[in-house]
Amino acid sequence: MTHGITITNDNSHILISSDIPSFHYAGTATFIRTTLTGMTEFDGFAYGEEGDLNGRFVHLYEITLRDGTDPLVFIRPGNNTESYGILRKYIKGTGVPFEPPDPYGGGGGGGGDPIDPIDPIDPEEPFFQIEKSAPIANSVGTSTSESLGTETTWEIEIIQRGTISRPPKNILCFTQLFGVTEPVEDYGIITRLADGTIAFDAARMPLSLVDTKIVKPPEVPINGGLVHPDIVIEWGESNRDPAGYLITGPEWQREGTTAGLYYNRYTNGSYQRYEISFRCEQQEDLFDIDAPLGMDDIAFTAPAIAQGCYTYTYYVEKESSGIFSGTQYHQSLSSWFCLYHQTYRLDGVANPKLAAGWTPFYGGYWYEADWTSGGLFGGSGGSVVYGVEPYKNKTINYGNNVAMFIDARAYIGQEIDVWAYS
Amino acid sequence: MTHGIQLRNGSGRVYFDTSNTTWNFLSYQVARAGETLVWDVPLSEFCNTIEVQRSYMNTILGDQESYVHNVAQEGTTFTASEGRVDTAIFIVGR
Repeated sequence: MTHGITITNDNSHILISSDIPSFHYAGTATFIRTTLTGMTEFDGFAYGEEGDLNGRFVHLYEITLRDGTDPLVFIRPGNNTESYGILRKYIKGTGVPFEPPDPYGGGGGGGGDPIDPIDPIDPEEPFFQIEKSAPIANSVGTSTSESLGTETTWEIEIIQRGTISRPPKNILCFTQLFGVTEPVEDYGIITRLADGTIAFDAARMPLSLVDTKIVKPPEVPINGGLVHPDIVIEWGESNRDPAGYLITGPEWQREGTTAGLYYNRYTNGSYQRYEISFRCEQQEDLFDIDAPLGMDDIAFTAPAIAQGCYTYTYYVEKESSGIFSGTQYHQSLSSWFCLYHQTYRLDGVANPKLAAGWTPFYGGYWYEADWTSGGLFGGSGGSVVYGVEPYKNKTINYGNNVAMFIDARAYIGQEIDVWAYS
Repeated sequence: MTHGIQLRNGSGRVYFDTSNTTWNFLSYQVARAGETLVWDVPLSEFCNTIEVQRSYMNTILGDQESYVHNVAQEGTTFTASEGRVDTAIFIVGR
C-alpha cells in the first residue's frame, strides 16, 4: 500500500485496510420453506421404534444481491438445544436439489441383481460454475437503473438437527461492494481501492467479527463410541436374516406387512429386536467465544460440510443340505449407514460457547443375500437385494474449520440498501 | 477504550469497535469442483494469524464424496485443490 489507511489494535492485528474490500451488511434473508425433513429412522428399514437417528431439517432462505456479489451468511439460532450449519448457497435456479437415493430401488423379489451403486458425479463436469472476476449472468437477473449490474437472488440452505422444526431467528447476510463508488451517507469513514471502488464504508454497516475459532467436532459422531466393524455371525447361532428370505421357519416372524420390520423370536416366546442407534446429540466439543455477548446476541457463520459415514454391518452365512441333495451355501449382508454433517449450537448462558457436533444428513439400509444351487433334488440358486447401496465407512472433510461470530444486535433492524447512493 | 476508533449506526449504537473487532476479512474465492485455484492475498503478509473457512457452494453430491477443497498457504499465495464440489473459501486474518 503506497497510500490509504490501515487500522490495527494493540496486538498489531489489522482491523481495517483500504487495500481490501470489506464485507458490508446486506440485510436478513427471507425464510422460504423447509425443504427436507426426516432422518429419524433409516430409509428402507421401517424399524418401528423412534430414536434411531436424531432427525434433521433443511430450511431454505433467499436474499437478493447485486452485481455478482456473494452472501456471507451468519446464523442467529432459533433454539440453543438444536444445532445448525450453513449447508450450501447457490444462485436461484441453478442449485441442484439434494435428492436422497430411492431406498426401494433394489426391489425385494427373489433372483434380482444388486442395484447399481450411486453414480459419483464426475468432478471434471461440475453442474455449475461461477466466475468471480466478472458479474454473473443468470436467469433471474433484472437490470437496475444504476450501473450496478444485475440483481441476483441467492438461495441459502440451513441444516438443523432435531425432530422439531426450528428455523433460525435470523439469517444475516453480508456482501462486498463491487462497483460501488459513491457514499450512502455524508458522514463516517470510507476507504477506497485504487480504482475508486469503496472498500470500507462506515455508513454501510461493515462486518465486525468479534471472534473467530478453529473448530473440530469429535471424530466419532455417534454416542457410545465407534460403530461396529463388519461382524460375521454363524447363521445357525444368530439367525440374522432381517429380510427373512432364506429362513422361513417358525423362528422368524415379520411384524405386520411393512417391509423391513423384523425380529427374531426365540423358541421360549421372547423376542430380540434389532437395536441400531446412530444418535449423536451428545457428541460435541465446546469452544469458548471470547466476546462480551449474551446467547441471544450472537450470530455465527459455520459450514455444515460432510464429515463421514458410519455403518453397522451384519454378515451371516450357513450351509444346508438335504437327503439326496447337494449342499447349498447361503450368505446375507445387512447394513445400516448414516452420513453426518458438521453442525453447531450455542451453549452456556453466562459465558457462551460454541458446541461443535453432528447432524445426520442421510441414512439408509441395505440387505442382500444369495444362495447357491443344491444340485439334483436340491434348491435352485438365487439372490435378493433390498435397499440402497451402503456408503463406505470413511471420514470426509474431517479436520479444522473456522467459525466466526458477530454481535447480531448491531445489525438486526438496521436494514439499508448497501448499493444505494446518497 | 483509550485509543482506536468506534463506528456507530444511525441510532448511535456502537457496532464497530477496534477494541472488540478482532479479525478482518482478507479474501473470498470460489474454487470450482475438480479444479485447482491459485491466488494472491497480499495483505496476508502483514497478518500474524490466518484462518480459512471452507463451505459448500452450488452442489452437494448425492453420494458421500462431497470433498471440499484443501487450502494451503505459502507466503501470500493460497492454493485450493482436490475438491470434488464447488467450495466457497473465506479467509480472515489479524
